[in-house]
Amino acid sequence: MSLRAKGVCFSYPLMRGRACRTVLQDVQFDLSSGVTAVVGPNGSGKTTLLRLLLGLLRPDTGSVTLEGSAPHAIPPERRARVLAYVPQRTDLGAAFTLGQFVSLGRYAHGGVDAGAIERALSMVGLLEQRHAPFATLSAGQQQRGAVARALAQLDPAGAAATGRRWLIADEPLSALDPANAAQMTALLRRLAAEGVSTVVVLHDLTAAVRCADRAVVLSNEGRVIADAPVLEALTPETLRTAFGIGFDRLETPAGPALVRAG
Amino acid sequence: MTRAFWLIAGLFVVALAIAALRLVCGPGELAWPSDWTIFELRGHRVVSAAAVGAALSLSGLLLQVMLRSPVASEYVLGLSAGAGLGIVAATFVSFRVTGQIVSYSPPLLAPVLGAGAALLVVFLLGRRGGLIDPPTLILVGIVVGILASAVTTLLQHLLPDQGMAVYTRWLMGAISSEAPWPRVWVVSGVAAVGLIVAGWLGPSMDAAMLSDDEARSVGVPLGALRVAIFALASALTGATLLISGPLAFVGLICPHLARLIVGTSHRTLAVASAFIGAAVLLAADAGVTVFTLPSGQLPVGVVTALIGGPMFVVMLRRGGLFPGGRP
Repeated sequence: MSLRAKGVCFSYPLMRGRACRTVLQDVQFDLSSGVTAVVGPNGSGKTTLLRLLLGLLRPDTGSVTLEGSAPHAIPPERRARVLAYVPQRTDLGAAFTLGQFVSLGRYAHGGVDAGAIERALSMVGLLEQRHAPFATLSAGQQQRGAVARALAQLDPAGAAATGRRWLIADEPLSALDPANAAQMTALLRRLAAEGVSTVVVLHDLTAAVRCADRAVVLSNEGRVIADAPVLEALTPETLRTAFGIGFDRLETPAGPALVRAG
Repeated sequence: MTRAFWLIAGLFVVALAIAALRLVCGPGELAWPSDWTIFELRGHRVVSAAAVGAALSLSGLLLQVMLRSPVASEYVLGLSAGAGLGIVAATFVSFRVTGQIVSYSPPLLAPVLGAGAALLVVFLLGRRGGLIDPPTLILVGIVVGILASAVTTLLQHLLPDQGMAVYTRWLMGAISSEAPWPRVWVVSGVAAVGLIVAGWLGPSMDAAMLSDDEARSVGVPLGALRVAIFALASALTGATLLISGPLAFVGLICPHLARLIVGTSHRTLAVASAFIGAAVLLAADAGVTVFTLPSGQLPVGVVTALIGGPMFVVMLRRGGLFPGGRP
C-alpha cells in the first residue's frame, strides 16, 4: 500500500520541442502512511510533483505508482475514490453554493450523499456556511472548502470507507489564520489516524515539523535533498541548502519550531 | 416535486403558449388559421423555430461549459460561420460537378462538418500550454468566423446570381419556409437527442466548472467529456443551418436566462435552456410575421440581434454573467 516515485524526471516544454525547463530530476521516494510534508523553495517543482502523483502529468522518465499502478492509467472514477486533490487555489466557473461545490467531490461515487457532504463540511468547520455562494467566501474559507470537497470525495468516516486513501494538498494553510491553521494541521493528523495518508506542500516549517511524520525536501534544481522522518529531514543544514538562508530550531513547550536565524 | 421541476414545467407551458400564439400570427393579421394550408405553413415555422431555438440554446450552453466562458456561443466561436461555409462549399462543389444549383438542399452533413471544423480550429489554436485559454479562444473564434464568412462570400461570388440571392437572404438569418418537412424533423430529432445527451452529461458538466486539474481529480474524464460536447455542439449548430440562417445571440443569451431562472445545476439548465431557446425564437418569429415590412418579411436573425445584443450588454454591465462578479 504505497505511493511511490522512482527515478522521476519531468520538464515542461517551452518552445515546440526546443528548450525545456527541467523541473524535477531523479525524484525517488516511497510513501506509505501518515503525513508527508513536501518542502522546498518557490519553483522547485513541488506543485509539479503533486500533479505527477495525481496522474495529471506523466513523468518523462521514471515512474509514479499508486498501489502498484500508474495513477494516470487508473480509470478516473476509481482513482478519484482513493486519491483527492486540494490545489493551491481553487477555481470555480459557476455560481455554486459552498454545499454544491463540496458535492462535486461526490462525482465519482455517483449520486449525491448528503451525509458525506455534511461530515466533510463539519470537519473543516464550515457546515453553517453551506448555503453561502462559494464566490462570496473569503480566501481562507474557500481553501477550507476545497479541503472539504476532497474529504467528501474520500469520505474517511463513511460506511464504505475501506483501504488506504490519499489526500494530496498544495499549501492548504496559505490563506488560513493561525487558529484555522492549527485546526487544519490537527485535521491532517486525525485523517492519518483514520487511514487517509496525506502529501502536503507546506511553507510554514514549524507547522511541518509539528504535523508531519516525514518530510521530502526539494532543492532549487528539483532534486530530493532530504527524505526522512521530519525532524531528521528539516534540519538547519538541509534548509540552508534548500533556501540559502539560515534557520534555528527552537524547542518550545508546544514542540519544536523553526525560525529564521539572525 | 422539487422547485426545479416546477420551474421547468412552467417554462414548458410558456413555450407551448408562445407556439400557440405563433399559430395565430399571420402577415399583418392575428387569427387562428382558417384552413389546413395556412395551418401547415405556420406549423412548419413553429416546429422549425422551436427546434432551431432549442438547438442553438443547447449548443451555447454546451460551449459555455466546454470553454468555461460565459461569452462562448456558436456564433462568437465561428461555428455558425463554419457551418454556413460548409453549406456554400457543398453547393459550390456540386455546382462545379453537375453545373446546377440545387437550391436549399445542401447535403445533411455539410453544415455539421463545417461547424465541427471551425470548432476544431478554434479549440486547437485557442490553447496555451495545453490549457484552454478563454480570451485567446474567443479571439481566435472571432477570426475564424470572419475568415469563414469571407470564404463563403468568395464562393458565392463564383456562383451564378441565383445562388447569390438565395444565400444572401439565408445568411442574414432567416428561418426557411421552404425546407422540406423531413429536414425539419431531422433538426427536431437532433435537438431532442441533444437535449437528452446534455441532460445525461449534467453532473459531469457541473464538475467541469472546476479547473481542469480539479475536475480530473474528482474523477471527470475531461478529455472524453470535451470530445462529447464538441461533437454535440457541432451537430446542434450544424443541424440548425439546414433550415435556418445563422442567428446571433440566441445561443449566447438563452443559457444565461436559464441560469437566472433555474440556477446552476447543468441537468436542469440543459432542459431550461432548450425550452427558453424555443420560446425566444418562436416569439421573435411571431414578431417578424405580424410586422411584415412593405419590402417583405424581415429575417428573424435581425430581430434576435437587435434585441439580444443590447440585452447581452445590459447583463454584462450588471455583472450577471460572471459567477462571483468576476471581470
